[in-house]
Amino acid sequence: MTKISENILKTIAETRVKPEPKWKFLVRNWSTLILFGLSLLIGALSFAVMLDIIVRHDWDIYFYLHKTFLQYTLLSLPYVWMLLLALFAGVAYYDFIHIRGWYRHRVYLVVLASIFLSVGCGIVFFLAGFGKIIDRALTKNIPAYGLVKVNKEELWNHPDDGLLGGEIIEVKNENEFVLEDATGKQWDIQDAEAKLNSIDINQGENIEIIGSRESADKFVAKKIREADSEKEDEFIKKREAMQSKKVLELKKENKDSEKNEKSGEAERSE
Amino acid sequence: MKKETQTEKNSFATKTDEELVALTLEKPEVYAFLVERFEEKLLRYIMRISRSTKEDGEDLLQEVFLSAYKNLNDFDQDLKFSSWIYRITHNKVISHFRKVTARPKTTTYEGDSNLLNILASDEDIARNLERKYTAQEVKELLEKLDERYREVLVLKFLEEKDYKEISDILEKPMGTVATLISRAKSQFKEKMLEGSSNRQ
Repeated sequence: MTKISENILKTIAETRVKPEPKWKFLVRNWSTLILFGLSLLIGALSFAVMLDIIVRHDWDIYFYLHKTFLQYTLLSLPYVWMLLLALFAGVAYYDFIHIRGWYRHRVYLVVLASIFLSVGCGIVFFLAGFGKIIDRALTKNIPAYGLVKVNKEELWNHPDDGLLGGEIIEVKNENEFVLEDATGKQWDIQDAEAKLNSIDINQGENIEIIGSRESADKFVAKKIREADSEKEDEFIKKREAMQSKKVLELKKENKDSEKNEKSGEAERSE
Repeated sequence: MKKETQTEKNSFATKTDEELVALTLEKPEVYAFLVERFEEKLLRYIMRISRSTKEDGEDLLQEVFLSAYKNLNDFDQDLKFSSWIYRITHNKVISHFRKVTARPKTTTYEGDSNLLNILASDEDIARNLERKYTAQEVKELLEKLDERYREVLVLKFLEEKDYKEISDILEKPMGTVATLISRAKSQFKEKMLEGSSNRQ
């Protein structure tokens, strides 16, 4: 036995060092792998929310806010989600270099594959509506989140610039209704040219109006659109439910009439 | 009794490194055979990539073997045991020099001057080889190289590891290892030509 091996065996015996149990390494290896998967998943969800925010954003109103498109874009980008995406990309990269045996793969290939996966899954999540669900849930449950995202209520509270949003609280007639804005102020809205829009004016609906202020509490609407809100979602759902109910009824009616026709023909042939 | 021990020793000598790892997990004494197999190679490797004296190198080597022993259950069966323990050694040397905030320097062994012969694949280098380079001069040339280039050259040409082993030791893809070796060779030749023109 050499001096070194003798010393090592002596140290092992004296310090009672033992090989670490296998399960510890298994747990460590699996945790890194799971963390990598989770980072990709959170990255994909962040991308879905980012996409949702960008797609749902009112890109056409920058002109009314006296801003250039670039200024408006810089103000509108979902920075929180972009940061989160970058953060989890970093975590995924850190995990990648610590996953056993993965050093054999080219870094750029893994980075590209991760981006492709995150973006691909992000698009799928976005199409499935997860982006919207997450954004809504966070807005509803975490007040701080509302502070860091573009405030739509604030965006549509520029009556002097021709932008007004709020809830319809009373429909006076076909051309006139009362709207309560985000600050609680009530407005008399005259639906001048906006009738051309195929939107139903019903009490309780949230809308966004492009028009002009006539006086302290009067606003003339040129364009009215449904606001992107939970109420709108409920409204759309109800409408869809009604439509599918109607379709079902129509199908049933068609079937019944076919049956009647067939039985009539059978009777006639007898 | 003595005969039995001798027979046991002989049987361990014929075992592969990987078999010895499995046996060590059952009988810690078997670890001595693994240590004996690698101590000389690893000490030489430590000295080649670090500035340590032989005594310091031996201390570092003890740490390497103890660390390897503690982590035996983490030994990846996809690797050669030699790659795994070289990796531990490499990481220990790096972290040791990070602690003392010094750049590792090389210590050469007899025969290291052959590195020049191996690298001398073009005419310029061949011309320079008309004069004989000493191991000390090779050491000085190696010290002038970037750390990442020096370590691949040492592994490839002095430790005679193949690309797969170097990839496993440095935990880098094989393509990257190939690129590093090619760049390291160029830098080595560059430094050598610089050195010879300075002498002239």
